[in-house]
Amino acid sequence: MSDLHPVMGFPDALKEKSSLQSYHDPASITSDTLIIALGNPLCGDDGLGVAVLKTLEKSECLPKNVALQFDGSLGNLLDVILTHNYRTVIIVDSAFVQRSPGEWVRFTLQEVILKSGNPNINISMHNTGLVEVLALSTALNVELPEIVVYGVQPMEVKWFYGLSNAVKMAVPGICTSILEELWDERDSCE
Amino acid sequence: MAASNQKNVRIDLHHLTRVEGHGNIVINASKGVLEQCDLEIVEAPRFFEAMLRGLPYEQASHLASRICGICAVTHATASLRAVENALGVQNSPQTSLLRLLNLYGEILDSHILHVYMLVAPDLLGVGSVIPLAKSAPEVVLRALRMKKLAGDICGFVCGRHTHPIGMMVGGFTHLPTEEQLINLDERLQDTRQDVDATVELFQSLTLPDFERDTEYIALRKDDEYCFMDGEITSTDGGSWPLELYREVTNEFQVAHSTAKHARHQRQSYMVGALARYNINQDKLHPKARSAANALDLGTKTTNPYMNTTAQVVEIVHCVEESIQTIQRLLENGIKPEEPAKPSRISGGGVGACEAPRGTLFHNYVIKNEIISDANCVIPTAQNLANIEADMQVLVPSILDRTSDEISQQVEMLVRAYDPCISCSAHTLEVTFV
Repeated sequence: MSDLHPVMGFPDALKEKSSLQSYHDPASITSDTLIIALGNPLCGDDGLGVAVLKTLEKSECLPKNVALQFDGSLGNLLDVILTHNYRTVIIVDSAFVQRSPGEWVRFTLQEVILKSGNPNINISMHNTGLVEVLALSTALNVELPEIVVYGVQPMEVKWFYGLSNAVKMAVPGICTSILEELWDERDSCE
Repeated sequence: MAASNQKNVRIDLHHLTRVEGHGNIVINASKGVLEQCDLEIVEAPRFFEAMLRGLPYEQASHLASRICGICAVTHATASLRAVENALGVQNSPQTSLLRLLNLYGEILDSHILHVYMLVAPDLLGVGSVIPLAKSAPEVVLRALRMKKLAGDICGFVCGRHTHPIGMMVGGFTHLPTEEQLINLDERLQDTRQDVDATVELFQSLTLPDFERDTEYIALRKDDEYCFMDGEITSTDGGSWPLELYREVTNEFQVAHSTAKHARHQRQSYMVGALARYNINQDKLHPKARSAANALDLGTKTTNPYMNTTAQVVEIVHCVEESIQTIQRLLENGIKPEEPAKPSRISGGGVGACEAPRGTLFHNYVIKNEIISDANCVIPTAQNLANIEADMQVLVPSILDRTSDEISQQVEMLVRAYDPCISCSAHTLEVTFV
């Protein structure tokens, strides 16, 4: 694992595994954690998030109290972050994180300053980004779940299906890091 | 309005906010004479009809739902109905009830978003929902609460609201459990307080006073306030079977828009909540009819700003109808069913649903289980000519105001239609060299 992305510890919420009505079902209201893939697989490295979730979905180590959301758009962030009872939301996306292609960073929203494309945040709620969700939660004094972002520097974002080699090679490491977040040493997958 | 007689106005409003997609408003008046009044649609074309061609029919609804993240259930349902009509699939009563419940969930989700997050800030004099959340947090929290319930209806019925995964030709791959339906029933009954508060809020707000009669078009059935199937019906008279939708929509291209326009018996027509209300008000749930009375919706309402009011009435209707639909499903007992089978492998069919913002048509030709032709007519595209016709009447009447005031009034007009511009963009501008 690179020094760029130390694992930050394990959410207490995940130390107790709960029984679940539905497995990997985003509609479930009992999941502790939601992992969202943003991005479009038809746009080259923008499909990184979907590739990570497809790998996680096949992993036997994915805890049952984790929901996966593949839909790729920002439109649902408002709903899933503000109105569902997830304790942790992990967002996986390609992002310009000032690294070499394929390198990735993990950060929580407390560790960064996000800038909106629109300084007035005169938003369209049809397409709500993280900045807008944060602004709304602050205005409403609503406590957010812990939000963790895995941002991967893309090589190319253009109309093309599939990832560049550099970004493809990052997928296993990101999956390992996410799974390590979801399990602690006592209660590991092995 | 002596001042307006000589006034020059140039408004070039790029990227209209609080609508889905990218549109510009261009207004040019010289010496008080309106010379240009366009709603430019600059969204790139998306080629969904081309992508549908060559696809096995089973996959069509999953691709069609990607046309819109807001109306994903409606697109998927219209797509399924087109396939089912083409191939002679007869759905079970349970499937029809679940499809309807799903549509109610989507109408609720979209209308709550529109009336609270997109329109209310204008009427309350704030720039967006963020300052509204500071000044009236209980209003925004109510909207979020109602929106979550609406999303959960779709989540329980079809797996998820955005890009549903549980619906298939002839039925469902996944059914809500009895416990989930009971959960929804209880929460829908609890949400009546929020619905009442929504009606009270909009009773207290004043919409711009502007009237322009037009042709209103919606689906209609004899036995319900129609959101799926039925016949195409016009307030100017006449009804048409779904198969004849092209005789109604008459799409055509204009130079300033990548979305087509539509016209029927006049230069333009309107679809959406107000059109549905004008055509189907006799089929509203009694509580929704009471809400319509409380909100001053008349027998025929011709103020396009009141499309938002009609959406509030539909929120009341869809909550009550969702409760009734769930109770019918529970009485019948939710049970696994084999999906209804096609009776042929080739044919043509039209599926039509009322999306939150108006009538949506999907028309497919299927040959040996593969889609060979597809046509989708989107509500916002049908409304664009009518929005411009409204603008052409509205703007000359307010030319005495400041440019900012004119801009705001016109923006509010466009927003009232709840346009979904990305969905409407079809055409491609090609420059030959």
